[in-house]
Amino acid sequence: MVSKPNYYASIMLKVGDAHGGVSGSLSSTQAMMRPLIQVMGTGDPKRYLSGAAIEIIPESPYGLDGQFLFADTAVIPDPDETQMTDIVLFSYQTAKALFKGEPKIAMLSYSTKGSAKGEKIDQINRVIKKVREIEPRIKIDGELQFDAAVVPEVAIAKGVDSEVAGQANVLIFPNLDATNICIKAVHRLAGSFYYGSIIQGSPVPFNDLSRGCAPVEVLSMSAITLMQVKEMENN
Amino acid sequence: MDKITFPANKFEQFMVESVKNYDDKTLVYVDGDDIRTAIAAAEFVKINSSKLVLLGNKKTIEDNLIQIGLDSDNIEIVEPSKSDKFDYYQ
Repeated sequence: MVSKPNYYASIMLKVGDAHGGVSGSLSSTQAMMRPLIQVMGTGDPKRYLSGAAIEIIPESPYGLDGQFLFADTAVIPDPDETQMTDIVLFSYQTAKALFKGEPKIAMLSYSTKGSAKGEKIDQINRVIKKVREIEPRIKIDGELQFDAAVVPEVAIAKGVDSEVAGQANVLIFPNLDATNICIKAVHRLAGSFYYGSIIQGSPVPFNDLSRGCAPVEVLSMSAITLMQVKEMENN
Repeated sequence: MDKITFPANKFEQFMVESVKNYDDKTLVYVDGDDIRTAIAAAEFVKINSSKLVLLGNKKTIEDNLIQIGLDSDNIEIVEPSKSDKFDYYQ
């Protein structure tokens, strides 16, 4: 196994011979994730890895000057309450590492503040409660439809008054289908800059590029990985 | 060869500012024998002096580095199966 570069890199990271890793320009996500999970995981068997992507939408007035973090983009198809809580907490860490401004987290849904009923909506609200208990300083709100989360006028029109609604820059989706569809739609239709997948929850940053990536994406992911290392050192 | 335009936006500018002078680290690249990794490494060493470990076939990586004209003390090539640490990592 050690002769395989993804295993070798995971062990380097585990034993401290490297501070961060970049994979994926030739390796599949599965080939990268399996050793990461086997060798390092989250460092806590009760916690879960997830993936995030940053998109920068040129000329957009929304988010953080058009900057958004999307999660989970890569790992958990249909997260349960515990998994979704970890997605939120690790996304907050990622946003803190990579944003110049304050992360504001919206839990996205087809419903805004009880406009519809459903088990997933109940789950989202339990997650919000749990996150506020674990980390009260996190600015989080939900459940919110995409427009109520991102567009201030819509948030007002829907009667949602919070520090997040209409101003969200971290978007947590109910499942992997929704996240994956959205990140690709935004990238293709809005011509965004795309950075991902940023793997969250690993004790040492180890990120996964797309096999179709350009050299500039390898370069930006190198910088992102180092920014994550820096954030971890500072906390 | 692909030409890199970086930074191309405010976020990338922020990346450069964030990692500038944060140098004493080691980054490992799984796909070190991919020419895209070498091209990116050539640009990364201009903004940060961390050590970059490129994993893969030594000859391929060396050829890639020559092709793009990268000669940096910050680059280390490691072929996992022939590494000094292979047994230790088992």
